[in-house]
Amino acid sequence: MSVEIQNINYRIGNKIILNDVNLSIKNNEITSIIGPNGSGKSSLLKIISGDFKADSGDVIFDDINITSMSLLTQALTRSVMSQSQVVVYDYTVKDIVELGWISNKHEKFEQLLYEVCKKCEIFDLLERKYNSLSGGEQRNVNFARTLFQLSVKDTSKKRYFFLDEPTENLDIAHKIKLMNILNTVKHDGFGILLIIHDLNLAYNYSDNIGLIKEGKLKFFGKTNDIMTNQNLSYIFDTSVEVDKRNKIIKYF
Amino acid sequence: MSKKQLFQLRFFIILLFLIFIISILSGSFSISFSDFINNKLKPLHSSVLYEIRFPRVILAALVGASLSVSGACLQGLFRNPLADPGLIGVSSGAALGVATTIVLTSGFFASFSQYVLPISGFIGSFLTIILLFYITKGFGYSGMTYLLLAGIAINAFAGVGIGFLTYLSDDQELRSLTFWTMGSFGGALWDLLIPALFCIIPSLIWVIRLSKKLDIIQLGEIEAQRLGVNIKKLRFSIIMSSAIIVGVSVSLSGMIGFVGLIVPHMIRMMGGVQHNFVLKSSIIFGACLMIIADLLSRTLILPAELPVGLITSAIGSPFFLWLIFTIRNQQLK
Repeated sequence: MSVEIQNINYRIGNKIILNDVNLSIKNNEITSIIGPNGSGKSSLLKIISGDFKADSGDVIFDDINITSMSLLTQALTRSVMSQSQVVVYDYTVKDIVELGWISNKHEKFEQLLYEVCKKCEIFDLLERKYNSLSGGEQRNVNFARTLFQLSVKDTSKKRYFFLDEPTENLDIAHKIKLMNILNTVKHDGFGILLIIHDLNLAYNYSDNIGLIKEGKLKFFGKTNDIMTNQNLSYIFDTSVEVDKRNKIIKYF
Repeated sequence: MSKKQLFQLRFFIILLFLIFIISILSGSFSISFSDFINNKLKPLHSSVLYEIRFPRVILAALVGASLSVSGACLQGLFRNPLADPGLIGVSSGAALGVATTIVLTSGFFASFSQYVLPISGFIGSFLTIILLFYITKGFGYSGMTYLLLAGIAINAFAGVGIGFLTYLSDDQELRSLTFWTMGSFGGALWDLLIPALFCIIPSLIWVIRLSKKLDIIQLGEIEAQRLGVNIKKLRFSIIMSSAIIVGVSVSLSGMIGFVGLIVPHMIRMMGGVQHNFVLKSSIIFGACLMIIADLLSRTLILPAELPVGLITSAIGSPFFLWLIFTIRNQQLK
């Protein structure tokens, strides 16, 4: 089971944003997309999420084209964590996390909410106002909300989790914590797509990596095959050194 | 709804009941409570009560509830705390309709029947909504900015019409125009009130059912869509129901400012921001506030009457300032 992205083309005006992109996001795996600013990563994520349609090409969730899925079915199949989340009114953290629950409340609601909060370690924040939190704390709360969205459906079905730079603004401890949660979530049967700037995190946690440049997916495959000096230096136009033995990437 | 919110909502309902009773019994001549309870009213008293006071107080409650709840809905939909029912142009459309009828027919139709002004107000607001719907392609543009700007443009355009008509009008017409734009419940009649109730109450139920979606849209339009909410449908439902609610209210009572903007904020400060609570409480509390404002408008300078719009601002703004500063102090502690 997987999400298949086939021949995606997308342009805004005359500018080509994505050019014939093909990739697949498999269950039980973390797939990371890496590329310079403005290379089309976020647009790709938005097209895969169904926010808008590509000019041509298909996004297929387990043999069902996204265009033939209702908004609710989409919401039950995948959840998306964006880079930042602005909320105007003074909702509590608990309110925000509960918004992820898109079904009717049933007896398992409290238990599942408890599990998500425990996983993300946001118990102390629950009664606080979302707007009084720091940027990093807000990010954690949104992570919890999008994770909670995927608890709704019964676990027998396949689900997908797309994240746009989830570790940005987090301190090193929280970065590792978030990636470890993703790692456990992945073993629950999720297919995970990450857009990420931190090369070391991507290198150490991803099963597959795609390198994107100027709207084209230049390289896609197993992490070890893709993360090479030549590939990364080419993608970023700067010299990057991959230390395969210690799994560290140096770029200065 | 939390326990505290449920308690507050019940408190507002009891308050509304008490204020309603007080308000129908007091006025330019007062009716004793025991007579009312024991059904020992004189014929004159009972006709004042049932033909004048009841429709008037019910209309005040209805208008207060309408303006408040549509303010809450639009502030929620636009994610903008400064949104109010006037923003989508319905009120000024109604005003333009009324002004047109008063000035262009030289008051001829208006003297003809009491129904003419409310009906022309309703037609005005209805035409405005059709226009807004048409130029925004069914409220379809992504992003709320265009919709807000379109509303502002329509408001300005209606303002031109009203200004032009005011310039053309003679003394008598100007007087009735001014009276209408400051708001009054003096014209309340059962014949007008009953159809208004039939338009407004279903719309109120309609928007209350959308409260969960209004919460979700606080995360942003794209996020809401990712959570399975059909944004276009939600936008259409909220704007249409607000337009109906406000259009009908304004046609019957004239323009009453401030309530739609302030009441939802009062509610949020007192009890919380979840729309299920905010919408229901705005209905009840908005009704309370408007009944009090109307009571003051007809008792303060007996036997004359003040425009109710003056009173709503006069009692609303100090209370609102007090709320802002007490809440702020609590948060600083």
